[in-house]
Amino acid sequence: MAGIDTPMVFENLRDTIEALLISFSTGRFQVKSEQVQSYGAEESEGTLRIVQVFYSDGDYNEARSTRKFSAHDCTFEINYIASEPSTADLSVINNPLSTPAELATAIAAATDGTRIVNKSIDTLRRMISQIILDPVNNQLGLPQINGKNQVANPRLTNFRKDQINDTGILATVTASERLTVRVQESFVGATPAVAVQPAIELTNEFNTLTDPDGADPAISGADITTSTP
Amino acid sequence: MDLRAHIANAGTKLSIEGNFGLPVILIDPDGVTYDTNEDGAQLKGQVLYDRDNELPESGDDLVVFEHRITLRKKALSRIPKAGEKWIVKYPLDSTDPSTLSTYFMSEKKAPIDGSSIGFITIFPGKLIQS
Repeated sequence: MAGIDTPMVFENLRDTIEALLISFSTGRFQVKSEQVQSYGAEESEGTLRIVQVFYSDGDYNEARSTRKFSAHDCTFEINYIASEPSTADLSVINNPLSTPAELATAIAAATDGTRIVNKSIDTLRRMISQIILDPVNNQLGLPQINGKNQVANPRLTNFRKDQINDTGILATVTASERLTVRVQESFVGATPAVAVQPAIELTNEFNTLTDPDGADPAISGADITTSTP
Repeated sequence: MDLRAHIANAGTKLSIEGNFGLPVILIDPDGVTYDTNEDGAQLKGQVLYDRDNELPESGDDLVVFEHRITLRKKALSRIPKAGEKWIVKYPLDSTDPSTLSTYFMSEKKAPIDGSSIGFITIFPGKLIQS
């Protein structure tokens, strides 16, 4: 069970999401888990486009809580950063023997970086969607416990692409979206490892939450019963 | 003396092509190459390299190198216009002016045209093999 000095499920999930994305990143993008405040456009050029993932907010769901357990609706912010140069046939443009007609054709065929980076960020979004929402990855890297899933309802929402910036030598664009999931957290705080049997035990009509590992998510409604220890 | 004409030529020539001028080669949309000024000397321009840039929507501080090439209009027999594609070659290292790199003036980045005293500033972008 999680306590004051042991990670909670959302912390483990943060690490497994990062590891999951890294496992697919080679040659496609790079993953950063920290929030970068200042960076150079060349750091995200081409297939070095950046995916930043970090736990950004969450709510303990009061309706799905007991004293020791709570559903935790987690939100992970996913930020995308991409940069691209323009492209052209440099074998013609840099060839001193090229004729004006050949140069004109090569220049006319040159593609501006804003067009390329616009597609690059769409591609990146496609990649992340395919990884996160693949049913095979529905636990986002977290193992089952006693045959029960730890993650419920992974959803990608609120994708938003920002305005393309082309004032520099590279065209750049950022985008963001949110990954929301529900997990179950447990709370023992700073109490010792050996739990003391409570005099009052919270039960509900569907689950008796006495097994902290692998218990089903709490269902709303709880009855208080007393028992003689 | 027409002071404006004087500034547009002699004054701008000194400030742009003087000791800080670097060699520039332009190729226009018709494939015509311009590497000399009106006097037949090497075409030179003022080349500036660095600038911080901030993405207004994300609020992050994104550093993007912004190259600015300022040329005298009188030195050019054809002036780059907004909406045109040009090739621009210039040194990336001001201490090695003989080595030129190839950059691209996109049709999407209009040049700043200093009509009152005769200069034009273009903003090339990085260019790689397609």
